[in-house]
Amino acid sequence: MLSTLRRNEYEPEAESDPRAEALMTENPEGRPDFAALYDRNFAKVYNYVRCRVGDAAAADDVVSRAFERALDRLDSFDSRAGTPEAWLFAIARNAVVDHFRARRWLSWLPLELLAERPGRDERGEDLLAADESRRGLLRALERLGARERDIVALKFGAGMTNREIAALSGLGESNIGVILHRAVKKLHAALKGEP
Amino acid sequence: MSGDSGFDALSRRLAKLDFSAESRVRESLRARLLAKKRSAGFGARPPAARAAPLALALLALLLLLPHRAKLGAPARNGAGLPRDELGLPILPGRLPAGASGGEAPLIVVREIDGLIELHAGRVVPTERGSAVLWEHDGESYVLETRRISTSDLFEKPAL
Repeated sequence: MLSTLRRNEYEPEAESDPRAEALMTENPEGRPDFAALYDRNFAKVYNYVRCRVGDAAAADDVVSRAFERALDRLDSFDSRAGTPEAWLFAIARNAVVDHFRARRWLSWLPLELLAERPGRDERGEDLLAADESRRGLLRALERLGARERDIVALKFGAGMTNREIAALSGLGESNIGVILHRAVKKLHAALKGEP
Repeated sequence: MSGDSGFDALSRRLAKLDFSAESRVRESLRARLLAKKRSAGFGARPPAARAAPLALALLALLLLLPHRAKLGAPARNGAGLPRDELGLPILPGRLPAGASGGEAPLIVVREIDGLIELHAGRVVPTERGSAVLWEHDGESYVLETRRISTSDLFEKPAL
């Protein structure tokens, strides 16, 4: 079963991604073209962040910060260090970490102050209400540990290969497969209402 | 086996997850960031091109610094000229070879509060107009003057 998550039909091709190559060749200096980077990766980054933070409004906030940072640091991108996607997701992961750090701090604030924060994304909630199974998936994701959730989000939200996740997280490729297998089993159990 | 099929089905569902349509910032964020990129010149020019004006400015500064140092030297002690010649015109015989011009060099150097005051100099014709020639410490210096019109100052290049 592990092998199905290590290399199967859900896993994008592990070879060089022609889209990533196109991003590089568009710019002779080796820096990715920001508009192309945004257009080709927004959905992946959003899905990754959404799987991590759950809330639609928070996801928008974190994604905005991630792309803003990517733009600010575009000149520091080094194509020898990895693909533009890997670089972008490293930034997105840090933005998620910052989000949770800020939330930890918010948890110390009085409840009255928290109540004044903007409400949840109504449009997103409507859409989620229309799709109970997706909402259930998000709820199930909340039951996972931070590392499992991160890896599941990278795998299924961002559509990364186990190898890419391993490179980004610093874990071994086989370890990623094991973590994913356990995480999906936990999600399955959670969705079935098992303890 | 049923567990495995459920596992596979869940994996498939997860792989198909796409929440991106729920983003409320996708287009506005793109517009804002691209506007920021344009206004800040991010990626508009390669780093080398962006560094070029700075390099030119540094080069100009480096070329000017020795002259500034030479100009600054007499300001400190007036060492280039004998004490009794300070404030007096330099004799023609002291001008370097090739420093042709008028009959008499009219350089008057006076040190006031650490600053060199150039009272007069010999005007020599140059390619672009005229220059004032003066000498100090065995070297000659040219202060070029150019006649320019206001239209030169506010020239607007047009194709």
